[in-house]
Amino acid sequence: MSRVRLRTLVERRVGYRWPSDRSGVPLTIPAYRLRTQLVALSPDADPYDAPPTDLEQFRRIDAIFDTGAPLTVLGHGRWRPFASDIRWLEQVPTPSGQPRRLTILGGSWTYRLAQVRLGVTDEQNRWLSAVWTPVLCLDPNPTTDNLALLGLRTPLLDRRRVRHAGTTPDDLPVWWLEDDAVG
Amino acid sequence: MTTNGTHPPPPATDAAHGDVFLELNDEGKAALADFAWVGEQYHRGAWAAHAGEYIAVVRRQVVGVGGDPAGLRERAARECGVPPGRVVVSYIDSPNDL
Amino acid sequence: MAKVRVEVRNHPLARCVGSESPTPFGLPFFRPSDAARVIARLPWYRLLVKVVVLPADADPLTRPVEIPETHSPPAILDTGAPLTCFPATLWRQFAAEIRWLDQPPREDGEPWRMTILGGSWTYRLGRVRLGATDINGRWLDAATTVAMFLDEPPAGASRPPRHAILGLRTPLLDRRRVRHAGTTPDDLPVWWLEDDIP
Repeated sequence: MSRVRLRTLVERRVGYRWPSDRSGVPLTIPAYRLRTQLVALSPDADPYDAPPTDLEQFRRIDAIFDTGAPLTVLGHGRWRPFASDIRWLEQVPTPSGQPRRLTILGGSWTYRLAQVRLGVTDEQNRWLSAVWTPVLCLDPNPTTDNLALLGLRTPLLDRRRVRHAGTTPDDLPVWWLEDDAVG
Repeated sequence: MTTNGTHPPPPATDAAHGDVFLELNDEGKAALADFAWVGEQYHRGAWAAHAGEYIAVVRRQVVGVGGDPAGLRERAARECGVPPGRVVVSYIDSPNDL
Repeated sequence: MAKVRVEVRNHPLARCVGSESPTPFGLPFFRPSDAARVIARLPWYRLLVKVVVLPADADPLTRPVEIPETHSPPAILDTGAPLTCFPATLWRQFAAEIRWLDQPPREDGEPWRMTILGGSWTYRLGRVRLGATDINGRWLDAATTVAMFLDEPPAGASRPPRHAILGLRTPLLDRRRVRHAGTTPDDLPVWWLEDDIP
């Protein structure tokens, strides 16, 4: 069974108090992000073998694992270094003639539709084979240039599962992305 | 909400898969059936004309359309003679919601 | 093993000039090698879990025999959202079941806000007991979840999300898995939220 460990990072802590608590000491709820390392391979690379450790760093993309994002999204700063390996798709014009936009992060951003050959790895160099994945490649903008989301519609999730497997001794949740062995 | 008490009986299960099923009363089953029907029709594009609005459904019939889900539910319940919780109110996604 | 079927709902994208697709679902594009320029569509969908709000003082193992629609909104299953969130149009219908929490004031005195999609909204923090069901009445036992309950935005402000969001930090996902199990004959993906039984 192929699998990779997802990284759990505490992004911030949300403070709160019980209304009846007079101690004045707030409690906190950790707000996590699930992160995973995508690898953008060139069209002629072997999709099945884990990438070499000396792979160009720009091909390793730290992304948020985001089932709420319909498609994978890469900011301009993420896709530009391997732009020559991207398959661009021509979009159908909108009735208004305006460019299509993606609404996230409190704003609305223009993008190009593309396919990128993405695999997934982790800190132990586990590997999920690379597949051509539809990606919204955002146009340049300082707000989104470093953005990377692994969205729902990708063959990387076909017949796979994302699994919560308890917590570490530090009380961080453990998550895996892995083949669906149940069938 | 009606529940089956603080000491529930063993859950109904699907022996083949081990699924746990609720033992819903007739009203509960009818509401879930309407909810399922809304989803089926959605995928057929039946609600495209109502994109960006809420629809209210009782017994597989659209009984109201509007922008205020709470008001829609109250009106539909009154007109259909059912409790507000029996009315399925569903938001129909709009292309403009992106 | 308890599980619920996750509803997969296509999102309607702008209908395109010249499109003859019977349903306006999917992001339209032209395949690079297609000289006939037939419009292809990239499916664009969301995962919806029908969460069920139970009375706050209910026994953890209580299973409802009736699920008022006021208390069972579909929520987008969103691992990219740290916390669960309900817009005011939804939570006002089950407000009696929310146990409100106080938040320490921000240093700048401004209200706490959450930013998602195309806007930013103020919220209150609270706890609610959530189970999950599906169209066949399957059931995942309830657990208490901390959630953000969005305020009604002032007139003229951007519209808040219409759907609830089931975020990453909810006990509903503890020791569970979100599983893609192939596709239906209509080519819709099949997803389950289920107990993790090794």
